[in-house]
Formats: sequence, C-alpha cells, structure tokens
Amino acid sequence: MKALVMIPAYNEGENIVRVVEELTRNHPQYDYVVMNDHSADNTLRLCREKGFNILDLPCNLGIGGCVQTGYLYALDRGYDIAIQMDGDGQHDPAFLDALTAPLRAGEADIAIGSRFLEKEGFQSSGMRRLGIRFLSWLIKTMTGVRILDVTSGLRAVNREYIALYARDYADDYPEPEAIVAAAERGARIREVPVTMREREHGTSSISPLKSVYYMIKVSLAIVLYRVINGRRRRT
Amino acid sequence: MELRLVLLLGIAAYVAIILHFLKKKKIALRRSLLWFLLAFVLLIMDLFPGLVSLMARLMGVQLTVNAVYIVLFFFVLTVSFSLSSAVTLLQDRNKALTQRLALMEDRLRALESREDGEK
Repeated sequence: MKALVMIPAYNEGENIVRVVEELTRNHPQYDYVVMNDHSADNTLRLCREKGFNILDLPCNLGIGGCVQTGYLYALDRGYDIAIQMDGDGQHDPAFLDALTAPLRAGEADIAIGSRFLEKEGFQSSGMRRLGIRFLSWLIKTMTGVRILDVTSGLRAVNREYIALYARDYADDYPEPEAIVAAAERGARIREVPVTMREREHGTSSISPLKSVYYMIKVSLAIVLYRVINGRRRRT
Repeated sequence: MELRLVLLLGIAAYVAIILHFLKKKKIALRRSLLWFLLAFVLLIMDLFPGLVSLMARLMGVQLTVNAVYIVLFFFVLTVSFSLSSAVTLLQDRNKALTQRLALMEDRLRALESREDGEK
C-alpha cells in the first residue's frame, strides 16, 4: 500500500528540516510531501536546498486549503493512504505504523492519533482540554461517533476519504469538521493512542483570543452540518 | 421643492459616477444594473412624492421618511449579503487555482529536472 505523509508548513523554518529528516531517515517506506502555505520565512528556501519534495502555494490559503492541497496531490498520485502530520515537530513519526495499521487491515477508513487514550506525553493546557472535551461531546451528539482528540492534526485517511477531502475540506480549523464530514458518510473512524511533543520553536497558530473564535466557529460548523445536511445517520 | 431639486442633482451625480466607473471598466455592466435600478427608483420617488406617502401608509408607517429608510436599509442589506456570497465564491475559485498552480509547478519542476538529466 502506497502511503503519503502530508506536512503542512507555514513559517516552520526552524522546524521543517528536522521534521522531514526525522521522517525520511527513520521511516523511508513512507513518501512525503511538504505543503508550503506561502511562508514568509525561509521555509521554502530550506526545503529547496535540501531537495525536499515540496508543493509551494503561491498565496496563503490557511491550514485548510494547505492540507487540502496535500489531499489533491495524494489523489492525483493514487496513494492508498494519506497521513496528515504537522510541520512543527509535535507529531512523532514513530507512530506512523501504529496509526496506519487499522487502515492497512481494512478495519477503519480514518485513524486519528489521540493524546487522550493513554494520557501520555504533552496533554495541552486545561482550558484547551475542556474545549476539546466539549467539541468531542458535540460531535458525539451530532453524529453518534465518539472521538476523544477531535482537534488532533495527526491522522491517516484511506482512498475513499482522500477523495472526499480533496473535494471538500474546511478552510480554517478544519480538524473537527473533517471528522463530522466523514462520520456523516458513514466512515469507520478509529482513534490510535499516540504521545505528542510540545513544539520546540515558534508559536502555535491558535492564540487565546483566537481560541474563542475557534470554539464558536467550530461548534457552529458542527451544528450547521447537521442542519444543512439533514437527518442523523444512525450507527 | 428645494429638497427635491437637491435630490435630483444628487441622483444626476450618482448616475454620472456609475457611468464614469463603467467607462473606466471598474464595474461590469451586469453589476451596474442594480445600481441603475436604485437611481431609477430614487428618481421616481423624487418626481412623485405622493407614491412614497402612499407606500408609507400601506406599510403602516407613520412618518414617510421612515418608510424610505426601511426600504433602503433592506436594499443595502440584500446587496451586502450578495457581496458576501460573491466573495465566498471568489475565495473558493482562488483556492482551487492556487492549489492547482502548486501541483502544476511541482510537475513542471519534475519534468525539467528529468530533461536536465537526459542532456
């Protein structure tokens, strides 16, 4: 099975080389592609110098459009599995095999790397965990699918859902919405325990003020999904 | 009477501005139609104020001018909502183009480096 690791990068000059080299050195069986979301820093130059496989977006699309470019690439090249992995070093490629295992075995359509199954590693701040728990509850209520780490950006997706996300993927803060979109189509979504690291350089894209917007936007999107797309699918 | 004259001048200036934008191609004819319609409606209101009073009575609004405000407000609301929708459409197209461009550039680079290798 051909598997592609998609690495979105926006101003990750301090992290990207380490992230990609860790992947290629220890896990050469995975193809990868970096999607550079029109970074203002030296991300592009570093990647070109190193000869990394990189897609360079000519304007900044935000995380959603950036990740979707990876799905388009995966669809184009006929990959069986596409894996989202952040460009900031939060995600440890050591978990790739465990993450993709349910897909390879045909037991799941989507696998999400979850921090909360075994509660190890970086757990995020209390407020964030509360927000994540709320969104998790909301998704459970709306779709019947129970996912603990709904905001996790480490996820593996099979062919069917590569095609879905290549066609339709939310623009900003897309992770919870992507779960809902897949759940609505009857996807088998599995969580896989992983540990995440705290980012070493740079700042997270989500500041305190933005997290308020995040919660409102994502909650609304989840609820609207039900309203717009009608009746709930019973599992 | 004086007010109606001022309004008439205002409408004339407004139409002149639309025409100017059309000439400079800063607005598409298709999109200017709505604004010409507005000018036309304002002109009718200016020439036949009786119609406006009648409209206010039918709406059950006591002060005629308030009826005018309500109508204009809804007009502006409709236009600005349709603009939001147009921006969304443009954004989607822009996103698709940006993504396609990035994928094409990747293919092009691969092709070029292969050609360089063959030389």
